[in-house]
Amino acid sequence: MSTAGHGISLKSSHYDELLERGLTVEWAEALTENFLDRGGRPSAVLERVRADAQIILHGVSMSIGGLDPFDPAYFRALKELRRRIDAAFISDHLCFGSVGGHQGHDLWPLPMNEDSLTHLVARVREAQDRLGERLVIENVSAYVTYRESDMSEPAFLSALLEEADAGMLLDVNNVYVSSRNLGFDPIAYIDALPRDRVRYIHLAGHADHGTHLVDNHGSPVCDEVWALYAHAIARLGSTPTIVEWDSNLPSLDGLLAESEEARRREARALEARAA
Amino acid sequence: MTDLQTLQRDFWRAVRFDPTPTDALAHFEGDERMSSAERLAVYRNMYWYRQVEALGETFPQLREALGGEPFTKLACRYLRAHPSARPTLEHVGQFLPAFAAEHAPAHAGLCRLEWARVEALVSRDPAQIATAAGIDPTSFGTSRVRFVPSLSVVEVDSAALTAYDETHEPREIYEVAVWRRRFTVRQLVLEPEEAAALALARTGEPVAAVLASFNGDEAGIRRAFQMMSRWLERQWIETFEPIPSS
Repeated sequence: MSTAGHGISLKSSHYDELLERGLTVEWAEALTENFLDRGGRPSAVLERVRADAQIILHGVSMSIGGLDPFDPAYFRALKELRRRIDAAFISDHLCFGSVGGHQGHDLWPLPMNEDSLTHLVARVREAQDRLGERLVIENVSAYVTYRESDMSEPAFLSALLEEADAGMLLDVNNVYVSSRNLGFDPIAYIDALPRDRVRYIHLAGHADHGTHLVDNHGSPVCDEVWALYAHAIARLGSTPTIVEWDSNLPSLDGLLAESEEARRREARALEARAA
Repeated sequence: MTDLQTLQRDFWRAVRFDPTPTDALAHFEGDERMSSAERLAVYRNMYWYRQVEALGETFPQLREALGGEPFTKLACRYLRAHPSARPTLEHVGQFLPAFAAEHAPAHAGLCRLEWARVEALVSRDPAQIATAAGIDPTSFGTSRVRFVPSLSVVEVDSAALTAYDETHEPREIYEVAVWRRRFTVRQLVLEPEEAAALALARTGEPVAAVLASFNGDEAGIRRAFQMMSRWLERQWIETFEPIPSS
């Protein structure tokens, strides 16, 4: 398995093109829930793309920080899909997304404190036991914090990743969005993360609502996030990087062009690091 | 210290209810730029927007038939009554056909048809497709039909067919077969004779019994075998499987 390279997230509006021409990047990230237990076009796209690229299964509904019991059917289907396409990573988010059996279809923040950490470590371990492999956990964009939080997010994440022996998906855009919304230093955030735990990186765009930024994956990566990415690469070294879009979607070539831009910027950051 | 269960339950209340209950607000930080209520409203707006949008994508013809604002009102009432319970966004709408039967009965048939189309779209691929050449004549009559996973039959009214520009003879109820062939969802209004035979076959009755449901005269027998031939052409049949002896 490669530990470097670049890629994009798979979007349904590109499926026909992907079936026809495949991919020319090293990595493809599939939103897990769009491919679980289903056939038709999504399944065919995954089979086609895996001939060209390594696949990452990126979930949004595991609710790692939630209190509802894990859904055994979800894990069975995820494990089967992972086996079928030989996915390189299974990732999901540092959040909760269900309460009392009701799904929020969103990534809700967790309090950062010892109670929460103890719960998270047990949940990540349980998820990993069910899957038979390490999870990769992504930092989310946040718009609010809990009064009960008494740890910084990097400290919380570092402890979680170490105690649960999990990997991290560093979403650089999420770091930037949260830093603006909650008022912290994004450079210090990245510097405080455990370097050896980061498995891959997300880049994306966001919307500026004046009082706050919204992580909508609907615009090109902005200059500030590119600068933060260069800082992350300088610290982490070469790291697989995925460009994510969910709204105002560009063409497949547009997406690939932004991925190539990430490749160029990574190369420059690595050169600067070596100098 | 407030326990995690209370914090998560109150976050859920903050997302579901507008305004956020005061006791739930107390757990969250605000500042001079945005109050805690404004910050939680970001999540609340995303929660409702995302799920109403998902319902609109799952039921585009219903949205078109109702109009944007009435559709949003119906969707919000539905989401209040049926919070999502499945990890996939399209399944947010799984109870909307039943809800529409009660709250928007004029559009219930259309709603059932659109849901059947979504289920066909996301269903598993068949393990195989049966062909006429692959039929074993010695066991054909005593075997039963296993249909492809995407095939379903839904009862609709004339308005549902009109929304899909389906030409149709005047009838009170139409039975429509919905299935996926490779990547494309298809639908077909069934004649009553074929609908009855298909219902019989889907309960697991042997092929001989399905064919015998037609009139026993020569024309009926011909129609029965033509129907079976069409099922094969439409790729509805995964396999003919032996019925285990009891």
